[in-house]
Amino acid sequence: MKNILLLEDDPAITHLLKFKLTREGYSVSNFSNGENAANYLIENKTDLVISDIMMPIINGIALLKEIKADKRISHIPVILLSAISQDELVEEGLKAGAAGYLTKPFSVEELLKTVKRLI
Amino acid sequence: MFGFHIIYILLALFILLMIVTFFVIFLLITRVIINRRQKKQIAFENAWRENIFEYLYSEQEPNELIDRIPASKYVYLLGFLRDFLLNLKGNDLDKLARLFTDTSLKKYLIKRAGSISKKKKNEAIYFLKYVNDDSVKILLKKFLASKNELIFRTTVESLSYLNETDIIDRIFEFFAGKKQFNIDGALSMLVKFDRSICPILTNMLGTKKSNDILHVIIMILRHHRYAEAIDKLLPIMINSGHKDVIIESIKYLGEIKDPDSINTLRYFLAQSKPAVSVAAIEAASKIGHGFLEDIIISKLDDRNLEVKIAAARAMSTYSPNSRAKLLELSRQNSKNENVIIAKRITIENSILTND
Repeated sequence: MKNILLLEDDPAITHLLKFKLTREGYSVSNFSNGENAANYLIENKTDLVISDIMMPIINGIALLKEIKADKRISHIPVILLSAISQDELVEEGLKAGAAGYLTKPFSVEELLKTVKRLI
Repeated sequence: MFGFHIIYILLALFILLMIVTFFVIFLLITRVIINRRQKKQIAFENAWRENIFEYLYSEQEPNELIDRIPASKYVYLLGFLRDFLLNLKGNDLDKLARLFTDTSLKKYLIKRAGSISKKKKNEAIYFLKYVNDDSVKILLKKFLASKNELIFRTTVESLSYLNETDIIDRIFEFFAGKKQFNIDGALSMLVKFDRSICPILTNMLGTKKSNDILHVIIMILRHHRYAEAIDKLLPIMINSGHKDVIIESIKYLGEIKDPDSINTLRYFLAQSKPAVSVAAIEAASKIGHGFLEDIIISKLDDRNLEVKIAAARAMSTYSPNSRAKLLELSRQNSKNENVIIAKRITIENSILTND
């Protein structure tokens, strides 16, 4: 079973994505911010990260840079979730090595396609 | 005499104590109500979350879900759905919207929209946009008569979601009826419509006399880069004495990048108002083509600092010749103001290039 780490501070979206991804056969862990995510990734085998850009404490871009800077976890693909007005952050994320991004409002089907393409 | 003063002071203290006590009791009751409501919301979500997700990703019909949820819980259902309606699109959103169109939730919302409670009414208006049928559109349009800004704003938001462009005049009317026209308020409403709003706004350019309204219309046309408005806009900007209308029109020209508007820009570059000159220089810079090169270079000698800086900034990209002149100036060893500006802009550009 493939393991996904979901980082999203909106509990409603977290519940929905966990429901759908679990149903599709993935194992999903989640945090509401990026603070402990890098440590979690080092200690737990993870195949993919889905991260909201705007999160408290450590945002999605900072976490992405942290992941890509650490050789132990830099191979893990990261999908960013952004709001419409965050074009510049998305660009920064793609430059930093994000494997893909989706803009909110987003389609869960579209997210699943991206997940399946990456793992 | 002294005794009377004591009585007055004690009476005042007693009244003050009563007011504070009532205020504290009021706060406590409000807090209890909010907590109770939150607990009920959480209980609802825990009980129904899986069922709603199940509906979303199965062949289940909307009524199969809604008929199982007691009507007394609809208020919590709406609270639960709000986040998903905002964050999802495509099939997920369509399936969620069907919960409103094909079920008893529609009747519930229509009834709630008639409530005397502004909060309930506002919430119902917010969700009615997902019903999207003619009877609901007619109902929503009735709420445009509301003098309450929150109700009016939510109604416009719902109707703009349905792209009901025939309400645009009412939006202007609403703000024109206020003591001061709220440009940001009108803009925030109009920007929610799609590009199909542009031909309607273009026609209004010929009928609206208020400078505030013209200003807002031009901003929206610029936002959509609607080039077809240019013929109606040019006479307005030439004849208008209103600074904001002129500047916004110039920005519009820069945004649509129409080379035919270069002569109009030449006219405005010759004007003495610094803010107009700055806008015209920036628009010319966006359009390019180099036809206004001499004027832009000459603006470096303008008396106004902002005009000088705008001219130098434009020179750095406008044409190879203007760029060379700016670089040449920046290399001079002088404390002349133009040299200092040229140095500043070239440094700024090199930072941007290296970034």
